[in-house]
Amino acid sequence: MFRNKLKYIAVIIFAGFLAVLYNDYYMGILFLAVAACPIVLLAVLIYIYLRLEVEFTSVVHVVNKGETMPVSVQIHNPTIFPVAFINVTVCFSNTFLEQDKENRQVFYVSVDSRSTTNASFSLKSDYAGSVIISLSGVRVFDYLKIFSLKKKVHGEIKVAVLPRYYELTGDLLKNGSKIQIESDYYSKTKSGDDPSEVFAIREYREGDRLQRIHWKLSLKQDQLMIKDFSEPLNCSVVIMADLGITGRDRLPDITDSLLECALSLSYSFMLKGQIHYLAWYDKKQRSSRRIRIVTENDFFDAVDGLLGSGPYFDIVDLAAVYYSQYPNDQYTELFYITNIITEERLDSLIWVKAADRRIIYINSEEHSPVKSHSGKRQSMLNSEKLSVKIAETGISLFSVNVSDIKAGLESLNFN
Amino acid sequence: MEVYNEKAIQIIDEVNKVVIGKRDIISKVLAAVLAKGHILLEDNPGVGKTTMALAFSKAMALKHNRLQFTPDVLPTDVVGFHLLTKDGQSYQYKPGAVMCNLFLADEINRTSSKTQSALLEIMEEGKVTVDSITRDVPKPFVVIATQNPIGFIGTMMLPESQLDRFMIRLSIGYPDMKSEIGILKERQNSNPLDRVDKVVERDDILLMQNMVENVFIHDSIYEYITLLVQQTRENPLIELGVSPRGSLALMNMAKATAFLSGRDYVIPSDVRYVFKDVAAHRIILKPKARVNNITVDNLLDDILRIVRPPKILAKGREADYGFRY
Repeated sequence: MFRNKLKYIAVIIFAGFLAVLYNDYYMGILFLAVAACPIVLLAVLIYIYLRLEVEFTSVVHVVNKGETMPVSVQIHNPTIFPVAFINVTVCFSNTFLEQDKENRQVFYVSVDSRSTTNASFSLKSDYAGSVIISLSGVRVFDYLKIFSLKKKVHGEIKVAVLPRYYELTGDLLKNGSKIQIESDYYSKTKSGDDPSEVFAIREYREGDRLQRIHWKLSLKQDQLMIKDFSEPLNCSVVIMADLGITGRDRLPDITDSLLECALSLSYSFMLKGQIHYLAWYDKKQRSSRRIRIVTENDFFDAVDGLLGSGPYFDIVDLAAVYYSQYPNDQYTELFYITNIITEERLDSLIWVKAADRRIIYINSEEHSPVKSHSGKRQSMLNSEKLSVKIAETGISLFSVNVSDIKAGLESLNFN
Repeated sequence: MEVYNEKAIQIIDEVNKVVIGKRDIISKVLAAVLAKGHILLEDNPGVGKTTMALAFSKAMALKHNRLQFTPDVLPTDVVGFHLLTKDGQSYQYKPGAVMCNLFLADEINRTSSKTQSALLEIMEEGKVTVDSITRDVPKPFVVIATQNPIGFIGTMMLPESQLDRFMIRLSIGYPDMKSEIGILKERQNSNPLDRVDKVVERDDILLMQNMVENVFIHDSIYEYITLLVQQTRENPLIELGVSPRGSLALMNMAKATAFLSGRDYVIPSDVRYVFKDVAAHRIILKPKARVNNITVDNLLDDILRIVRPPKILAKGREADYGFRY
């Protein structure tokens, strides 16, 4: 634009030179016209700038990893002047991975008079997370590109990029997994069949079972009263997704793999009707969060929670935090998905009361063979002490390589 | 038309005496009544749902019945039943609560699903069938149902088929500070419902309903309505979009809105004005929408942004998205 300004100044000087040189009426007019043109252009530009309506829209708010996110910028020009150049700059970044890098995409559009132009473009994220797309600015140019005005457009679009998750067909649990574990937690919204806790007392309704009649109270009230029992929120299985990362090397790959692994397990349990907890460390609340997964709605609530939390670089012992929050919980199976194994973490895992504890170690080393039960990782686990500790505690260790999580999970034999 | 339009405005004014600061909601309820629709009021207790319904029945001189839906309300309480006469030779029909012009179904989600289902035929066809004998309910017939979104223990969610039969779902919401002060002053020593005057007769309402039916819709508005509705069916986060019954409801509500604005033709802003109220309760989101906390309202706002309203020229110049024939 600066070059255009220089060029135009040169044209004005040239026109002025001609006007002086020829001392002619027409040359004078030409010089005045050339000199007045930018003022007219600026006036038109200001008028267009004030009337132009820009809207940033997207109907897609949730996409799968690798899927395109269509985004459109709608520019409505209600004036009688067409706009030849509009520079639209779109910024986008993945907030989940906390990467400072903000990507930009610039494109030019033109809008006819009294019409609307829809500039559409697609973005694609190779990693799961929360992509924030915003319009950093819409710059409107005059016809000669001498002047420009930047229009601020507020609002941003948040698109959740879901990690991949698969249905695992093999046996994921040992035979005893269907054992009902006693629970201290009861549903606050739904009645159930646990006679040890009364959910509500209410009047008799047609169809109520006779066993549920509260005879003493009925006599007192002089009408039939019913006691509704509580629904225990028991889960025999817990999946802990530890999104702790040691370094920024291959951060997106490892985070994606951790999510992929945890969600695949959870999704498969959900499809098999196995009610379970999916727990993770919420770095914003500095505590562990868990969701009891029964339906697909719960599963996506958990996905939302995981994407809202993100990976962390602090030394957080998820099992210890979890145990401090739910010290009385008991499980038949505990799955711990992590990229970091230390002696302290193994100790914490022992605290959580579970019949079977399994660590699924996400192996980020390239060309590392995926091995099942006995396939213990070498680099982190090569210390003699750690191996002895694992053997002593009876924790099963499984290794899955980031290069192919699906194949890695499918090849695991938990039984 | 102008006379009746003024009467409609008077009805709104009368109801506004009781439900202060909610003129917008009142006009939407009246629009639904004039469009021969039923209204679902969903809001917290004590915001004036029942009062509004009673004020409407008074202002429009409609025979109204109110039924408090509790778990022990039976379908026969709603539709009526046949009773063996004293002589034991014949049966006599004892009309249910729906045999009126304005039926207020209070806390409809507190009753059993079989009682809720008793309303299906009445709401759609304006007829009641008891023991294979079908009877017409009086005309006009409007159901104003209320439900409380909080305290859902012991409630039965309305099924989709029932929800679809409600033309609009509205939330009254809490009044602003000025309105609340007004409410406190008004209710010191009198019931404001006593001050609601009758504005129209039953036949006037029928006439106004006919006028609404005859409001003109340009082809481009039909197209606009269809595009909006189709977007709800194609959205990747929507499991169940707006049904053709929903499209008809949108069209009729837009006509009624035009009528209340004193026009005999529909403009795109009429459609936009009622789109969310007509569509929101008919839409079911996919579980995926829970990621990012996407709500039906967000998606409908997106749809309204994406589908541009048609531009129509009136007498050679661009009207304000209007069309005069």
